[in-house]
Amino acid sequence: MKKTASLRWLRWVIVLVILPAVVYLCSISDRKYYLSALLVIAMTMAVFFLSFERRMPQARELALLAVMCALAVAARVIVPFPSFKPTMAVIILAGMAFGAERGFLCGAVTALVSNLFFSQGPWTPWQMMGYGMGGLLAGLACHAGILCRRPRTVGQLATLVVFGFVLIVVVVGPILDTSTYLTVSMKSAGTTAAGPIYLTGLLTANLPHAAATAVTLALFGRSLLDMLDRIQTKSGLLQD
Amino acid sequence: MAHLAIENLTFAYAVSPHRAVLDGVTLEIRQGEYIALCGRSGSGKTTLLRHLKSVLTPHGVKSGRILLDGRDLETVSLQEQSAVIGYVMQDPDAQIVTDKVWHELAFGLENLGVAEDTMRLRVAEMASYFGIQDWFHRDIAQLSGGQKQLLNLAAIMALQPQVLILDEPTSQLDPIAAADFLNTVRKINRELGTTVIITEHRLEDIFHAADRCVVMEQGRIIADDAPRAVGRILHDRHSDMFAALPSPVRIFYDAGFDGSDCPLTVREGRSWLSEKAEGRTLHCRLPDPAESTAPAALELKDLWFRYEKNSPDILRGVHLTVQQGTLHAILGGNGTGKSTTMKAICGICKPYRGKVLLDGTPTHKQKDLFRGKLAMLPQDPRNLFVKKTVREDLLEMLPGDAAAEEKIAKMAQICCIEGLLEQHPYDLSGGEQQRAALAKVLLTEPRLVLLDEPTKGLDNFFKEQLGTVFRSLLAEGVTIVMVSHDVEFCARNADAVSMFFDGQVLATTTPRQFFAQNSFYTTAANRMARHIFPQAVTAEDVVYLMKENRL
Amino acid sequence: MGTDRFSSAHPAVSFGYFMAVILLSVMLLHPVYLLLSLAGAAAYLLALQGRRAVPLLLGMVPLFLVITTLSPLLNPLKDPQGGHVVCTLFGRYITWELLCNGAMLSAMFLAMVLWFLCYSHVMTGDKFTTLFAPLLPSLSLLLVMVLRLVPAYGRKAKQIVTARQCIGLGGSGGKGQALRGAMANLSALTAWALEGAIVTADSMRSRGYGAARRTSFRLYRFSLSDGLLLALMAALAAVTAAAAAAGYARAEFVPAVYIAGSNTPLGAAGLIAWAILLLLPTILHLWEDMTWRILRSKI
Repeated sequence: MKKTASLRWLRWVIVLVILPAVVYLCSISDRKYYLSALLVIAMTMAVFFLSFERRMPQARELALLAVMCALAVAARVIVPFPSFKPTMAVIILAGMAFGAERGFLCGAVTALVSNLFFSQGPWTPWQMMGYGMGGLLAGLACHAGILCRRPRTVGQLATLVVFGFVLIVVVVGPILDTSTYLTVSMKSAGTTAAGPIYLTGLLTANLPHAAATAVTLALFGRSLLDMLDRIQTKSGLLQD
Repeated sequence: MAHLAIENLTFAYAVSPHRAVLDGVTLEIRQGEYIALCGRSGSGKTTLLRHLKSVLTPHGVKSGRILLDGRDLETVSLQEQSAVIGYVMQDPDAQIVTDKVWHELAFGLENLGVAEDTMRLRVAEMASYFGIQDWFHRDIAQLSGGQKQLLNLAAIMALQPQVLILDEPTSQLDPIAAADFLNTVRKINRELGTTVIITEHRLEDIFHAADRCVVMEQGRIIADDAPRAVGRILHDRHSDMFAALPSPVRIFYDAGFDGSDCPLTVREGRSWLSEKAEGRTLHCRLPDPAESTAPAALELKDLWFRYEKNSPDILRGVHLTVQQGTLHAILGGNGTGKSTTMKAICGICKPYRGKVLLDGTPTHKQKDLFRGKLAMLPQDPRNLFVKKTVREDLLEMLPGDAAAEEKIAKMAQICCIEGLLEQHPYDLSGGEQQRAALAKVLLTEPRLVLLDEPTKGLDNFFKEQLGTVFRSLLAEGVTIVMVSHDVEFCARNADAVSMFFDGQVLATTTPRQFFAQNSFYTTAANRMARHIFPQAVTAEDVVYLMKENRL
Repeated sequence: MGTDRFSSAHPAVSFGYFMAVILLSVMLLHPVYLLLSLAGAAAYLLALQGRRAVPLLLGMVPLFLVITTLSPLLNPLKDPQGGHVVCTLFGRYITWELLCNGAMLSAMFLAMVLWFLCYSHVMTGDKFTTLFAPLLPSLSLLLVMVLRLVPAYGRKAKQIVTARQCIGLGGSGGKGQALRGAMANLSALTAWALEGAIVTADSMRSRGYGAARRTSFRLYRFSLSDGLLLALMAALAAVTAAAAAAGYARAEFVPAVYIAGSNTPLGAAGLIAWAILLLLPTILHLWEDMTWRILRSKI
């Protein structure tokens, strides 16, 4: 119980000292938007991470999540075109199969680990947030019945493909672009043009990314969902 | 009181509740015993072992009970079971959880909430006992298969278990790493008094060392006795498992002997045979099959290969000729260039000097090399499975072929997988997966098939079946080249054998000549009988000569 | 891996340091502060990587120039607000003030990139997970598991590609064919990986995962000198932050040029503390280098 005591102490330090200090610095700094955005990201992730901890995940849940994250990272290696990124497709499918919360986790961890293998940078928290939101929304859409967990008809598959495309263009991509936008924008420099940044992002990164995701979902989506189905029944896993 | 007692255990899986996988199994195990559990694939060995640990017990219909020190196992807490009963599985890779050697050693202790100082001591102790200090800080990705399995064992021993259960722990290892591993298990049993229950395909290594040998057949225990007695029981019952016993035992019974002096090891076999042969003049010639005069299907001429400009050479002038319609085995230790040669034949590795000739034409000049000419079966057959059923997987090879169904039916018959076509490839056993993958490879209708360690992890029965498949292919004029560590299989099935060492082919001869001239790298039967019958290579050879000489 | 006192320190020290330096570099948009940050990052990168870092650092120069010249385009000033106009581009006025502003932003961006390079060098995956294990045990275990699987999948993927090539499923043909082939490879990898997950989960449970509250084995111990180092860094960062809060690290170019001076005791202290903080890893590195040289010469 010594351990929990020391953690509680740490929690108080965070709440009473670090958070106020950061908020204060945010308010006086020229870069309040950037910093408060970071703060929002940190808190969102903390909510998901702590609820994951509280749930005390089972061995099989951890093992399956680890496999999905690692597949999402490694999927880039297996496709022979360097700019083709199937990562988000795997995260979307994981979110659909395992639920929104695990989808977020899968996205965030994938982004963190893939940056550990490539390079960490100021974009890391944003990418974690963007990928996490992607997984989360896929899980929610599946829960709400927009997406079909077992797409059988062409229509259901088409919905999935379109959903993936739109998700990247509307949510995941813009979150990453916001990172760029807030990095270069300064209060004192007057209003910075958001248009050019988001437009460049859309054309150079997000549209190709969305296309890659859609193609991967179309070609690989059904097969992965079937495999997850099989493993879930075989191991009595994550059936809630 | 027995340490572990299984009382009338019956079990059936939930999917087929009327087919008992375990049928009234009763077994008592005393503290510190070393028990070899044998049986064909599917005889219920693994299911039985998994019942000895509650968290691994499969779902299904169960009756009977298991007692640990007199307490029903189900009432023993997860925490206590984790510490007291250690379980090593088959796959060295997938068992590992973390990314560093040190972390893996500590993983079980972390789970049980052991205090940090105690944990440090235990981890240090295990690292020293298993000789892991040198690679303590390494990434798991840098370890060899043998090291990984040793790490799995050490990570379990860190919990200081009283019972150690090993389910085919060496099936994925090469013979040297396997012997190393089994010696370590012996050492644990001897020095720490840990109870050991082990299943193995390679009975040669464990049969003689076991205190007791328990044999299972169709979910029942058919023999439970000292190894020598078990040999006799299996022989008397004409059991399938008899063929899996060590060569000395098989030779003893097949040559018509009976009694209590059955040899278990090569050493015992030698002195037994010497006794029998004393003072006799023996004729010991065996017919050598006529040299094949078929044209060369594959020729390798002076192949040199290295991965990068400044890295050492992997292949250093490989010369090899494989004749049409023969089964050519390539033997040799790890890292001698066997697998690289296979890749060079397929054009995956590009030699910087030398030529690969397929039917007399250089491979790099041939179009559609992998259509009707050449195909390779990978070491892990699972690399080829992408679909939901074996049939769909086979269909992938015949896109748009009107006669696809007929071809698949024919191939299924050749590879003995007729009954498995509708199953998921991952629901098959190792031997079945091997044959299903082979069927997929053969659907390209190759004239030359390359096989990378096709007998790895297979039990004796599956090996026999694979041998049959090979013979029917050879009869159709297909040429087979296989890389292998399996000396016994090559001695029985190969037409020619090449020895690899240090990136070169040292010698190519018939198996008989090859194994007869080696004293170490040869079959157990040959090691046992070479001082009397130098040319006898398989157990059948020895038995034949003994009968000829009326020994 | 611990090549010097700083990178072999307890992960909490390294992590705290990088977070503080990177966050402060983002906030303190002041030419002098930023130049110091750039210099500190470049110096430590050179100390860590030696000559290999030189081409990388030289490559930063054109990047700096490109970002600087392009940045004014992002500020849609329709009229030149009293600035010194250099030229007009796409109907926009490019002023000296905007260019200076852009130079500062690109310096900040490059400083971040360089510090993150140092971070990647020092904060390896195992340090990161060790650090968060007490706070987020399940998540850090998940991270460790993913870190183990990624290289294994890379290797398996290569095996699968080779295996399928050798039975004529190499995806010869057009791009579409190659893409289909890649997806089949991905299927094979996924099936194998998911099957492995069951074994891994069994292996975890058979070693008592979930039986009790997890403790964590830490390779790194927090020593007294780690504590002192952390305290020193915290003090330096606090002085810098105080000076910044008092407005000594402010600079503005648009609409009018304003650069805060450091001519009061607090301002000077802030600048000096910032400089020491930035150079601390390099100093520790050089110190250790020197000690070794002296030790070796004595042998």
